[in-house]
Amino acid sequence: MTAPGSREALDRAVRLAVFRAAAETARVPAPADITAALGISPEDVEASLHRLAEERVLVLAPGPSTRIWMANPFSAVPTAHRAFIDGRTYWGNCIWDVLGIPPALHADAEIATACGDCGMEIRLRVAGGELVEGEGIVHYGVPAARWWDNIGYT
Amino acid sequence: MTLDQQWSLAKAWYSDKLEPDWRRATPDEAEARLARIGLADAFWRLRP
Repeated sequence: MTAPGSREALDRAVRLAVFRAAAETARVPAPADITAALGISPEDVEASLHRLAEERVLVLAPGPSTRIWMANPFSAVPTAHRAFIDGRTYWGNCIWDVLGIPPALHADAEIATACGDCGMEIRLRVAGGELVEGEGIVHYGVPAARWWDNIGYT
Repeated sequence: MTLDQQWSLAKAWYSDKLEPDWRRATPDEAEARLARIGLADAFWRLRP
């Protein structure tokens, strides 16, 4: 059983390992990658990921195995919302998140997303910390108070 | 919302996400961010 103080330190280390790996590689790490990177037990990593999910720092995939689905703004699985930065393709969970990837990385980006109505590709560009190209409106169908009832649907 | 509003939210939410001392915004802070860009009606309230 991990003591509360060391549990906090563990969760911080796991959080940083997840987000730094996602930033550096454009891929959200698997629990085994975190275990290897931090040199801690798979059980500690799993328990930490569940606590981070409860705190809504990240989202685990549905099902019995512990796998990260979203380390917002990054998606662990391919999506239509893509940010192209320094030769890498990052997947965002939605338009909000894919627009958050360049600010998170403090980088310029080309962004490709898809119209939620007709599926047409939409291109955007971020440069110098500003959105310099792109147009459109963003539709939210779920009231903010219910976003986390089913964040995958939202 | 407009794309500019969405861009403002993306910056507010994620600019510090990779920082070691990042913490999740409180509901008050998150609602204030929404209100700052004109999203203040009942649809955008984070608590029922």
